[in-house]
Amino acid sequence: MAGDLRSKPRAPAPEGDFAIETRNLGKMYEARNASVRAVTGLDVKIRRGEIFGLLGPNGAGKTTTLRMLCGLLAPTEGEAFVDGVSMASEPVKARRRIGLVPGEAGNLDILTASEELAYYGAFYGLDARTVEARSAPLLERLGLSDRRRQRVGTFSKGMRRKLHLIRALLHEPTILILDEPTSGLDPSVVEEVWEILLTLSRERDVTVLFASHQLEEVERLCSRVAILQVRLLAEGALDELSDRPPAYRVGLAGEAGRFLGALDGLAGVSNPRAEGETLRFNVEASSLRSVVPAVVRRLVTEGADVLDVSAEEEDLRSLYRSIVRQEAGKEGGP
Amino acid sequence: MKGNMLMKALLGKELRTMLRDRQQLFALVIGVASAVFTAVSIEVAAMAERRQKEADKASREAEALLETAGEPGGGTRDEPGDEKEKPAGTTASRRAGAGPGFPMTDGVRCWMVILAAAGMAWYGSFFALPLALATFVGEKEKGTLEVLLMTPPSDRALYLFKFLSVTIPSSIYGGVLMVLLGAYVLILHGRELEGFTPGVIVAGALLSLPFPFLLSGFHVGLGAICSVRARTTQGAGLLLGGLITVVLFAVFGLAAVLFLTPLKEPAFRAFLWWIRKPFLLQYATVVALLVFLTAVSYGVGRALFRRETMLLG
Repeated sequence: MAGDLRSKPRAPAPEGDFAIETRNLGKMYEARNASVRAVTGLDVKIRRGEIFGLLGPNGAGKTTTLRMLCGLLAPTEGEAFVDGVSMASEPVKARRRIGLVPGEAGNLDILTASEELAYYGAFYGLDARTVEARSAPLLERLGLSDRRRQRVGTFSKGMRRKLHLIRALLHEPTILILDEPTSGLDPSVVEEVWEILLTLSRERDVTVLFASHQLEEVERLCSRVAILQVRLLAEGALDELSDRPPAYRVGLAGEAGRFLGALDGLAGVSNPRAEGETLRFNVEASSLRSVVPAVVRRLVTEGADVLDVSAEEEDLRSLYRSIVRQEAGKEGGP
Repeated sequence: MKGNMLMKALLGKELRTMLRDRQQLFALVIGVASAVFTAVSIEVAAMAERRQKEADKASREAEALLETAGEPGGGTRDEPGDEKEKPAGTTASRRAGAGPGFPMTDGVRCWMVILAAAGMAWYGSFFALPLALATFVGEKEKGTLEVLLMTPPSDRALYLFKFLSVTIPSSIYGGVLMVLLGAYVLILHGRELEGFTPGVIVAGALLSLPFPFLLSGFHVGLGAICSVRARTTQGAGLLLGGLITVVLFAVFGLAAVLFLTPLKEPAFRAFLWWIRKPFLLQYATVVALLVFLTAVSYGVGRALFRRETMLLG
C-alpha cells in the first residue's frame, strides 16, 4: 500500500464500520500532590478512510488522546478500539494497524535514511528488501530518493518530517495518526504532506487522524473535526458545526465587558461575549429580524456608544474561538 | 515478530553508532591503547628486572670471589644481624626477596597481566554504561523512543533485545581486550612462567570470558534503571554516578571500614572466605555473585521498563 499510492481505491467503508472508536475514554495523571485530569468522557467514532482533525488549545489533551489510541498510555477510564480491536486487551494486534508520526519525533542521526527505515521496518518483521521496495516510491515522490544513502543528521526539518511519514507507512497501516504533522514546515513541504494524506485517504482508504493547531490545514483536509478541551466540546462535519445560530458583532466606543449584562434575558440572544471594544453574540435564526435591533436599543439605553453592527462569518477559526471561549467562560463562571 | 530480525536490527544500529560516532570510537581506541600500554609497561619492567638480576648475579659472583680470596685471613665474614645494616640492594636482601622495589618475578608479572586483563574487562563493561544511557534515555531525549514503543513487540521483548544489543558489543570489546592480553602472555611468556603452563593460561582465559558479559550486563541493567525516571542523558548520568558510588562504597568501603576495626580478622575471614577455598569454588562463587548482580539489575530494569513509564519519565 505504502509503496504504490496510485493503485485502485478500495470500496468505501459501510456506515458504522469504524476505524477508531472510543467509549468514555479518559486519562488522569497522578502527580505527587495532585491528580491532573487530561481527558475525560471522550466518545468519538471515526469511519474508515476518513480524515479526522483533533483541535484544541495547548494542554487540551490532544496528544494524550492520540497516545491512548496508539496504546502508549493506558486510559484510566473507558476504552479505545482500533479496527474493532480493543487496545486494552489486544495491544499488539491493534498497534500493528497504526502508523504514528509523533509531534516531537526524532531521528537516528548517525544512520542513513535507508538504514533508519530498515531499522524501524525490522520491528514490524519487514526484511530490508521489503522495506526498500515499499519505501522507494515514497522517497521518490517526496524528493528524498537521492538522499537515501546520506546520514539523517544532515537532513533539514522538512526532510526529516517526510522521512517520519515514510517510516510510519512502511508496515502499511490502515490508520495513520499524526501529531502536528506540518508544524514548522515551509509551505511547499506542507502542500506535499497534505497531498500524501489526501491520496492515502481517497485512494487507499487509510483513516487519518491528526491533531493540529493549523486551522487552515484542518479545513483543507478534514471531513470531520472534534474540538477537545479535556472533554469533547464539539464533534462533527465542518458544515454541521457551522450550522449554529448566526453570530453578530457590535463595535462599541469603550470597554464592551461593561455592557455584557445588558444582553441578559433578551429573547433570541445566546452566548454573549466581550472582547476589548467588541461585543459578540449568537442569534436564533427565527428571530433574526427582531433581535438585532432589540440588542442595539438595549445597549443604547444602557449608555453604550454603538459604532457598528455586522454579521460574522462562522469559519472554523471563529467557530473554534467561540466554542473554546464558551467553555472557558463556563469554567471561570460562578 | 522474529527475534533474530529484531536483534540484528538493534545490534546493527549499536555497532554502526559505535563505529561512526567519533566520541565512541575514541573511547574504543583508548581501551586498545590501554591494553597495549599495559603490555609494554610490563615488558619494560621485566626488562629492567632482568638487568637487575644480571647485575645482582655479577655482584654475587664478585662477593664470592672476595670471600674466597679473604678466607685465609679470616675475620671478614659478615656476622648475623649485620646484614640489615648493609646498603639496600645487596645480595642478601635480594636473596630474601625483600629489596627496595617489588620483586618482579615471572609469577608476579603474570598476575599483573591477569589483573590488567581484568581491568580491560572492567573497561569494556564500563563502556556499556554510556551505551545503555544512549539506548534508553538517549532515545527518549532524541524523540525516537515513542516511535519504537509504538511498534508491535512487547515491553519484555523490547527491553530484552535493547539490553542484549548493548551488552553484547561491550562484552565482546572487553573480551577481545582480555584475549589480546592473554595471547600476549601466552606467546611471549607462556613457556617461562613458573606454575603457569600455556594450558593453564588458555583455560584461565576461557574461564574469564563470562566476566565481561556479566559485568556489562550488570552495568546495562543499572543504566536502564537510571534511564527510566530521567528525562535527559545528563540526569540519568548523574543518577548512575550516584548509584555506582554506592556500589563501590558497598564493596570497597565496607572492606576498608572493617580493616580499620578490631573486627578486621574475623570479618576478613567471614567476608572473604571464598578466597581461601580451592580455585574452582572461588571461580564458581565469583561467577555466581556476578550472575546474581546481573540478574537483579536486569530484573529491576525490566520491571521498570513499561511503555507509559518510559514515555512520561
